[in-house]
Amino acid sequence: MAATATREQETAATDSAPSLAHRARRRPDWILAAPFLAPALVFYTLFLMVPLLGTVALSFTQWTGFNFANIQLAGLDNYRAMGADPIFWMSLRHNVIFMVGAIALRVTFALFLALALDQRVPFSNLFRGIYLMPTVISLVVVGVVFRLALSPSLGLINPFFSAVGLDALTGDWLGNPNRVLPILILIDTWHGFGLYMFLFIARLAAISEELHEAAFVDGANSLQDIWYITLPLLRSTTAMVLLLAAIDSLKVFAIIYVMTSGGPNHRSEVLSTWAYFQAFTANKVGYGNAILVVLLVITFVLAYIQVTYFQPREEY
Amino acid sequence: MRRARVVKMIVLYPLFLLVAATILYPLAWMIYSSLKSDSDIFADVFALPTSLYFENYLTVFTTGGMDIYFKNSLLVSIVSVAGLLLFTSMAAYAFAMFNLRGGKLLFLFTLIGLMVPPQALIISGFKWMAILKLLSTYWALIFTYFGWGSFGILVLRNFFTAVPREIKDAARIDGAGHWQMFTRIMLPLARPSLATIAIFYFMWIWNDFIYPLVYMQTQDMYTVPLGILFLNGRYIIQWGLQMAGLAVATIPPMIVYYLFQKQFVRGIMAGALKG
Repeated sequence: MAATATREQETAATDSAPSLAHRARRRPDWILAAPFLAPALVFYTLFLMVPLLGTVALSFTQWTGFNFANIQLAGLDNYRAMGADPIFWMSLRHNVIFMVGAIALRVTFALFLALALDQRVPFSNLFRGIYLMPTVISLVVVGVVFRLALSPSLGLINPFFSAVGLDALTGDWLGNPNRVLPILILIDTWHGFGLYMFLFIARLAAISEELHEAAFVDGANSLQDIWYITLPLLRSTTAMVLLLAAIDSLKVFAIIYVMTSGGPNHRSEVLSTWAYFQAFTANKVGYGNAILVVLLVITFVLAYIQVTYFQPREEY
Repeated sequence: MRRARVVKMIVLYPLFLLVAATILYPLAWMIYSSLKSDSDIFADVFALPTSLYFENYLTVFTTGGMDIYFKNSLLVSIVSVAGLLLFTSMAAYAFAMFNLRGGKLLFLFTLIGLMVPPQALIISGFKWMAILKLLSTYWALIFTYFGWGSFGILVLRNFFTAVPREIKDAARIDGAGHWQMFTRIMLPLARPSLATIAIFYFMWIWNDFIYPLVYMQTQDMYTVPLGILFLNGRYIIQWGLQMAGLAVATIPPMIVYYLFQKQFVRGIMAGALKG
């Protein structure tokens, strides 16, 4: 007991005391530290911060993107132009649909399977490994494979539906304005739910075995154990995963670019594909960046909530 | 209890197998179709290959240009990951070991990068690379990835901070300077964290699509994801070729995943919890 207390005090002392280098102080710390900090910070500043500020700065200009002499300050014109751009609003709506879909499907699926895998039947580790596999595959690969699989004439999906008697579901998927977003969300879920599942699994592993045993001693069955013991303990993890899924959903680009390019007729357009089109095809660099700023602001607000309410645990 | 276990297995296994099949079948389809000739594929898209047909792979690597894309991806990924490991661990060492005036503020500044979605930088990044005359060079991608060090700095700083005081003191008494302390003591200790970070960055960089799409304008500079999209457009009705390209693109991350599954999982957790 006494030994434990001493060790804790030592640890506390280590954490709060100034570092050894500081005490030694032969040269000012900054001079010693600068060579260590310089490479990472130089690249961070030049290739992350400069483009980030560039995105914001260019959003207040009008520019076709060819000659630097032609950049004109445009104040808030680009932001005003959004009001008159129905495709901008459509894209924003699609981002919201994607977010809601991703949250609903990815998180529900992840939670459900994590709980099922937590029952520790034989081979659950094998299944865990399989479910995480799609996460390591490039979204371009996923996009092309499923585009071939969804091909209206050949492909896998339509013959499959015919074979199991769901003829009503056959037909064009990516060219059908009413089907394109749901199918993209499904494919995105296929690719990404495993990651969230692992976040739940990590939390589940941390729940003390004694709690479950106590429940079983009191006569609870597995479902009651999940409902009364496990789920309440998952509340903060679930909130964190929901927010994470929301932030991740805003990063959607590759799967849409590869599978539909935002089509048919902009029915799967999202802010990032619309910004890409504006800047690189329509040569409206200012407007494209203004769209990206909208995306940035939404992301920062969600990330701010995440950082404020869910302090990351400092252990990996 | 034993009966409850059997009931669980009866309920859960069909579910597990169904989900596993949904995940594995499209991938298996991709791989076995890559071993079929186009006429075999179009005769029956579901059928397994009757004999192994390697022609697709040969064509993809010769006229398809996959040898170039593969080399580009490998080069960019390895240099970027190596640089990121070195630079982020050095910066993390400084943040953890020195009591700098304003150090906390500088650290918070480096964490801003964690919140930035990569695609928010593509337009200004493109113009910036044009100014620097780096478009269609490896450096455009490598420097860009070097800029995303926030994640590694955060993870490693936490690790270095947690290294017991005794170890740091002992090294000091032996007269080690900071560089020796860093290379001989701290880096070897940090090996598991470094592995986690390396896997995490490798997966991201190997699979990254948006920066190569914007920065790599000539076909000889394409990375694998761009290359397979190019093959998809060029060999639109030659599915066998496309499948071979897709399979080649999937092999490296799969190998890394199987060798370093534990580190990968730790990496995605850290990435998710990074805040």
